Amino acid sequence: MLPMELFTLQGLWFVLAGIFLIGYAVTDGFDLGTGFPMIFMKNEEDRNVLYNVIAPVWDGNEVWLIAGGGMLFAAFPAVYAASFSGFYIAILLVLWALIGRAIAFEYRNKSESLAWKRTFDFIYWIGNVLPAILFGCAVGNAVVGVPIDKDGAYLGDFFTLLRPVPLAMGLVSLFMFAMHGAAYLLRKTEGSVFEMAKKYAVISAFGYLAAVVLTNILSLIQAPYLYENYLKYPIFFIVPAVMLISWIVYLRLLKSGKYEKMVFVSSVLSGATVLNVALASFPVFIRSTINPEYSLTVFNSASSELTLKVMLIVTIIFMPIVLYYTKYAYKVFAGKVKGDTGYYH
Amino acid sequence: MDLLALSRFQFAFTAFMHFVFVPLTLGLSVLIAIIKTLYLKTKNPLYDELSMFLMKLFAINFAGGVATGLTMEFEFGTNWFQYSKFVGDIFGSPLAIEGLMAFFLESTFMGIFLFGRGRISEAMHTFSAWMVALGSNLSALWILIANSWMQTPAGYKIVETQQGIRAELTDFWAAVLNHTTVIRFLHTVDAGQITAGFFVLGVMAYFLLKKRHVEMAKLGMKVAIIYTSIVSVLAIIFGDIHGYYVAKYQPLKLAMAEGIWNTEKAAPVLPIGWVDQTEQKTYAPIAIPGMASFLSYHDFNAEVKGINDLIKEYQQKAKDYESKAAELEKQYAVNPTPELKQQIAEYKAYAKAYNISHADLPSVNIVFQSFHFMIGLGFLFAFISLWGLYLLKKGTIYQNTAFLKTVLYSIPLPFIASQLGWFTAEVGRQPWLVQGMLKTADGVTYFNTSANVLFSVVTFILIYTGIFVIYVRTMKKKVQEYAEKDVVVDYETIPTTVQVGMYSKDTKGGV
Repeated sequence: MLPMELFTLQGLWFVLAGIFLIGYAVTDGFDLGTGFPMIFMKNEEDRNVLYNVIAPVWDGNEVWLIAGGGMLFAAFPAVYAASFSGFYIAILLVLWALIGRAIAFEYRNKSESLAWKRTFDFIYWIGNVLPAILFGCAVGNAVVGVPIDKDGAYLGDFFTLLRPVPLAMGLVSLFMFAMHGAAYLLRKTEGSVFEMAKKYAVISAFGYLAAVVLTNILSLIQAPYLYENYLKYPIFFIVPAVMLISWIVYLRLLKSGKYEKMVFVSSVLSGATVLNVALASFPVFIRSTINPEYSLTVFNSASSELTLKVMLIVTIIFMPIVLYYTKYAYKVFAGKVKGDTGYYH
Repeated sequence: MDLLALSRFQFAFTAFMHFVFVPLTLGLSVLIAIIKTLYLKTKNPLYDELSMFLMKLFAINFAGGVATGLTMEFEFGTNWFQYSKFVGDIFGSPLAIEGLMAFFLESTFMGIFLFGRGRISEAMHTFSAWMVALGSNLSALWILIANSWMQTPAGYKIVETQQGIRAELTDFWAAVLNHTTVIRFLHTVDAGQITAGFFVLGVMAYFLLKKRHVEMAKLGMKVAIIYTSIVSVLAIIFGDIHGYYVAKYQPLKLAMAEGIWNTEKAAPVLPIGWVDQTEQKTYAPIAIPGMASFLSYHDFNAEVKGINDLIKEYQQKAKDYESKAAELEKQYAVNPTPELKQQIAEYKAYAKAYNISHADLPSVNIVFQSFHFMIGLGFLFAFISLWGLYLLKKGTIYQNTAFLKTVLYSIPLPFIASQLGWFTAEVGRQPWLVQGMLKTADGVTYFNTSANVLFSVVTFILIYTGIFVIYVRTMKKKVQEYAEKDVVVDYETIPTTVQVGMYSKDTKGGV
């Protein structure tokens, strides 16, 4: 019923890599998704709210990216090396955007000048939008395929990456984060931002739907192999089903005003979206368009068994600890956030 | 322009800029936790005020560290493709563990410490400060484990895999606790403590000179001078031990750092000098005979190997590996076993790595000068802090303008010393990326274009210069603003359960 390859040490690490990706999507998704409306907010107080909702937790959220990158490096060095070097310009754009976001966060309120603040707001906005799109784009390129040779060396350039399916996947991730951010805002804010978030949630949900439909139409034409796993293992269809159901529940909760529960649903939706792509591609991490033999798979790109075992033990020990105090942090900062003060400390 | 040169420059520049922020993070987190604990014990609100003020400066510094640290995590993959594939099996793990064990801890509790006041108990608040300190220093531990492995690799074997040749882990603890991990960790973290010690001393001196927040500044000064004295004396001890290990495991680095070209017994220390690489000479007005031998081997008569002889030695090593490989290849032709194939691959890798010439050397002068200036600064820090300790005992430290001015203007010096230390360590490791295993030239993303890297180098320079300027300006401004402001320490109502503002106590500043 399930592919046997999953039940190997390498297969398990594929699952762990997926969990890290989902962890990143769910936690840093709050940061990214709450940042998109930034430049559309007219008054200072509302902008402050958008910063304040994630001020105490954004750093921790971003660590998922750092830890995830480290995990990829440790468990699948060939994949880490091929993707980071191959997507050179795209990766650096993400990096600079994230640097800009971190800097904007910390330095925005260090001056009273409006021009200063507005500049950093814009940098912050770019710092959220760009990584959100490129997240889907990068995953899309990996699974659709890129020109890598037998050593994993990338033979294309930046523009090779701008193809319809990966770009559509970029839209999926953008709206996925938007839905998640909107849900978080509905839980954490009140007043004008809260009202804005209601509309924001509707727009994001329909944007997401449109992007998913578009991605599937384009994939059927240009990358039909992405459906092979689903036809082979029909049980995988549970995941798109979860996606659909959580999308419907999201809108119903919104309509009936049960905002508190929406974050959970958007987390499930994000997780299912990531899982969906991962299952379509398994066991391939990066498909080679030059020769399918050159594709980097869970097996030919993994670290030695010893390294995988050591890292598995480390993960089993430390992941629960991390989750425990992360949960504690969110608990400490539970409740609605106001915008009468900026992000000062 | 040359792809390799650009890639090297980019890594050096971004690592350098990252380490502008790191040392202060390592030390200040500990000092803040100590001061916060003193508050919990003494209930003196001045300690509380001081810890919160320092935390604001810490946060500004931390943001720079996070932003520039992200680059380091990405850059192995983006620019050092061959390296990442070669060492990922071993080198990736410490990076991943750093994230999992340390960086999550540091970041999460940082948020709790900064914004949690009023939502958590004072004990929990103090605990958070300690977790931030623990997280940042654990982070340094794992990064130094990774870096030390590049300096003195252990616990591995070289194997041929589907993805090409690479180093694979054979013994996790041997790789983690390789020959130099412990001492390099202690040395680096201690340098961070000195940086923070001098930073706090300088800021307190500024207040004392301006006659602002005098009572608080006195407390801060006292804590900082005691702390700094201890850590600067430790630095000399750690530095000495570190040198001993370098001599033992990285003789080429030692020879470059001391400017010794030809093997000699009772090798001298040249306190000041200039290295002429083309002439293969080190010009120095003074030489302290036997001192380099003593510092390296704790024996005045010991033989210290020179650069020229070491290169010859390595070339011989390369030849030996080559002939061993050739011999095995003959055997392999008759009896092709996978074991033989692996053995051949391993010998060939070593033959390639040890085949170095004078042309592969880095600028020896950089290694020499940075090493010497770092040591000079190290002694200066010990001298200044012991002077302060003496004044503290005499009871005149708070009025001694000469001392106060000295520490104020010394703020940048430990930052510089840390950078010089890394110049010695990293330039001194050349021509290898992983000592004796992989040359730097063989680690680069060879299929990248120079245009790409030139573009990223220029962008990094622009962004990082911007960050650096804003960082220094903001730090200065925060301290000056604080000096101007009238701080009222409310002895009655130190917040415990009050819900304050958003997450801050007043509308401007003060958590």
